[in-house]
Amino acid sequence: MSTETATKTAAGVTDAVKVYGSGDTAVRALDGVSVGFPAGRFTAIMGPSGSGKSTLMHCAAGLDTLTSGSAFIGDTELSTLEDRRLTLLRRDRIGFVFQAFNLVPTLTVAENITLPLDLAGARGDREWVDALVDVVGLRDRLHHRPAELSGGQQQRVAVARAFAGRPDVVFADEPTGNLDSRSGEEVLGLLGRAVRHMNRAVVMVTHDPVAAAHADEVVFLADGRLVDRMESPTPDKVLDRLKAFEART
Amino acid sequence: MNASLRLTVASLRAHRRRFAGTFLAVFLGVAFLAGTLVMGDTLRASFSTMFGDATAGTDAVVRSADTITAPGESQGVRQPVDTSLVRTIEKVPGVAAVAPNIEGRGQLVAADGKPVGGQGPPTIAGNWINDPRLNPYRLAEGRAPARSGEVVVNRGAARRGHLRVGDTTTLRTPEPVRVTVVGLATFGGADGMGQVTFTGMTQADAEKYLTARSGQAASIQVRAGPGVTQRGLVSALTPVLPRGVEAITGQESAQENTDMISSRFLTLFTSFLLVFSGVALLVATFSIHNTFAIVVAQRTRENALLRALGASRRQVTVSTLVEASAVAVMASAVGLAGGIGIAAGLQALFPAIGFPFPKGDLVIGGLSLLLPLAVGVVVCLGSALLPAVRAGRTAPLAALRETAVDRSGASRARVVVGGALAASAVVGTLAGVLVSPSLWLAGTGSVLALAAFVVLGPVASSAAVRALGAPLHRLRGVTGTLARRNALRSPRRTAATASALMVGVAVVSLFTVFAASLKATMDQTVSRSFAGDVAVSTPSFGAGGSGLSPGLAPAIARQAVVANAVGLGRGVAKADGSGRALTVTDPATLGRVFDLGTVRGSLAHLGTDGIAVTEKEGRGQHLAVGSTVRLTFTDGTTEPFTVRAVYSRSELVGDYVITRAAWAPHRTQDSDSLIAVSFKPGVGTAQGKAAVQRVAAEYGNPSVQTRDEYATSSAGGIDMMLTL
Repeated sequence: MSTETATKTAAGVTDAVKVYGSGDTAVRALDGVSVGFPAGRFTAIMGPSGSGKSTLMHCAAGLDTLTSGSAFIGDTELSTLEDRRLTLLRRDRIGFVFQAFNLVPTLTVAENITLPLDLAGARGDREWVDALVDVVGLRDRLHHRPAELSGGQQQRVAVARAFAGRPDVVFADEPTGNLDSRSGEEVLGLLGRAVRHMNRAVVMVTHDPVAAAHADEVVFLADGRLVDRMESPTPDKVLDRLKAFEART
Repeated sequence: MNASLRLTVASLRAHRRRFAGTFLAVFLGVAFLAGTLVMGDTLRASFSTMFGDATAGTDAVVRSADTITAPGESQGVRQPVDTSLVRTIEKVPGVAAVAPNIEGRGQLVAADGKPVGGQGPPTIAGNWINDPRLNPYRLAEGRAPARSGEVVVNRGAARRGHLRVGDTTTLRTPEPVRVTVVGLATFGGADGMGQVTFTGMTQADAEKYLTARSGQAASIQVRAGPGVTQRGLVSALTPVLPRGVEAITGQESAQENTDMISSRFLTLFTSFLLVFSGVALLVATFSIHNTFAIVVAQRTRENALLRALGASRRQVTVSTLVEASAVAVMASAVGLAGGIGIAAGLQALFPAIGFPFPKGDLVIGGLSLLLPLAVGVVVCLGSALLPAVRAGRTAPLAALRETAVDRSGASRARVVVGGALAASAVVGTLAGVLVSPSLWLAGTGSVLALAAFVVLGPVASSAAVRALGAPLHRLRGVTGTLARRNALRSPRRTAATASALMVGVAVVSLFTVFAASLKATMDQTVSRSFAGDVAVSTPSFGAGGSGLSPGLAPAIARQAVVANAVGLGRGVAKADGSGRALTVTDPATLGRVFDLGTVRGSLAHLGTDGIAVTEKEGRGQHLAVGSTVRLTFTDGTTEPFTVRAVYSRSELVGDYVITRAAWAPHRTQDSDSLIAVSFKPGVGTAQGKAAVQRVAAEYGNPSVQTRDEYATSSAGGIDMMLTL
């Protein structure tokens, strides 16, 4: 895949610092991280527990605010936005896939997929949504409720929803964390294909080297700092890299 | 369908059962409110139709302009007009017919010897007006009275008294008068004016038995000739009337009667229903707030997810509010139907328990539909507002964390706030009840107490569940333990469920305690103030009955076993300008059968210009022994009275006492409401009572009760209220 600098950056953070708590109990979850997530690329964020990978994602996605530094979606600086603008930004330009509790239990599959569009009050591109339904293979489940689906099917609904509004960037937080390996493969395959076909950015937080290997690039975090980057990862290479961390600590 | 609405509908569908409690509370509140309004409209409309029909032929009513109203009475006493005015009015151009309307109290005695009516609605006797269009009653059977002793009775009263044309019975005016029923009449197409009984006599009889002096009438009814409007007639009449006498149109008179009679019925029931409605809506407020607080707390992750996906605060808030209003609209709509049902039920129920309720269709006005609906929706939205705003404030990040556990039970702030509320509630209530009796203080205290219960509910529920749930483990094993844990997990939910039940029980106990206290007070009042051995009375509850003949007390006093028999009569006058009820009696012997408390001065020699007042009235009106009060009577005369005694206990005797001699020149139709009798030493209660009963039988057979029986029956009216 291309790594030209000309590629547009869909999202990113510069000198990101996030401190939880204050005084003696203060924890620096992010300690001066700068990273960009280009469009058309699938980036995985890895690191041991407590390395700040989830915090990085939350701040980059506008779910949480940085203590200092800046976060961007496209050219928009998030720290200057008030809640209403931030909400609109999430709605229109960002897609989310969470580890669990992705779907509104009282809405059907079809309603869940179009939820961001409905919230925007937009008709959206119904043909696009229709095509997405086929891509994730849920045509026969549209009128079921989430509780009637398997975990893998639920995550596929979440993926469809994340892409329904054609966002600039999709953030996925351990999307395969609760799935068996076959379902996980399916979801990761969907994310990978979406990046290539739609030229969107996908940012995935994971601790699973096999999942990370689906990405174009893996960035490694430790103690709130960016410690390494790896192009064209394979499960073995990622695993070795992680082992190297553990040996060092 | 937009997103907020879709979320709302989906959520309602999913949480049907949770909203059942909320639904019920709103439903009850709205139903009682709607029922009250519909019943009010219906009553007014039926009375209005009835009076309109009955008095359609009366174009003007001539009567005295002034009324004297004693405090607590809904209807003032109007001075009579001279019947000689009839001749003056007849000469006025445009007048087709004139008839005096003599009206007084007259209670029929049924074929079986029991009085007819008198349990609330008035028992009216009057002159039978021969002009059929001026007479609101129509002859349905028989003929009009032509000779002394002949009467026409309204058909409803005749039916209840098992009286037929040709029967002879007694009419208590309150002097017992032998009368022969010669005709039956209807009123406005019905068998009577509600349950009011009417006896029509000849004009001479009416003047003789119903007025203090002949030549007086309550009012004069006038019918206009062709082409003369009601207004025109009134304008033509006004110049010939003496000072203090006025003419009003027939329509105005009908409207006045409608208002008066419907308000009398309405106040009794509407206040009761409105209190109930208010309590239900208050409960609804708490119930809705609690329900939504729980819903919102349990939906934290869902709301956070929505926020993360781009739902604005407003969208989340609105979706919760729409949910509340959906519940509100549904519950209110069903409540409206329920309210109409209540009104229909009451309409059917009232006659069955002896209360008048005129026939006619239910009248459902726009206001009675819109107001309860609006109140229901506003209450719902108002109480869901706070939880809804809280829902909107959910941080998007909460979607990524575990569900926030409801910690309401553990909160120290809750205990402190609840404790403070409870303390101020107790202080407020006690201060309101004991220190300086004030409805406001006590009411605020009660509302605070309710709030305290809601706040402390979760704290108490944890403790209660722990205590009650302890044996569950042994009895039901794992299931029991789980049940207990579940109840403990969300104390607020547990408390909300319990509070619905709690408030229900509280309302029922409130009414029970209230009625019991009232009954006890009444009991106490009677046993404290009544110092006689037996009481002779007509039904004490309501305005009906004819009262007791003034001749009865002296007749009883003549019995060998009787030491004292004192009758209490009622009068009304303006005391220094404000209407007051007077007690007309023999003050000298009053103290022997009633406990008057401490008496300053002497009741023995009030004479025709002396008066006795209670301490309370004396304080309020600045009266003491020796001061002068000017009484204005219904005949228009004003006389100064000297206060010769001040007594402290007024429960049965009333606030102002004058002698019969002083009252005689101003009297209207004389009657006593109560005769207290004491026996000579050594006379047994049974023996004395039998003697009194023998005398009473000749005076239309009023009830003779021992002191205890009298106390119980005085309180009995409250039982009747309670069963309603």
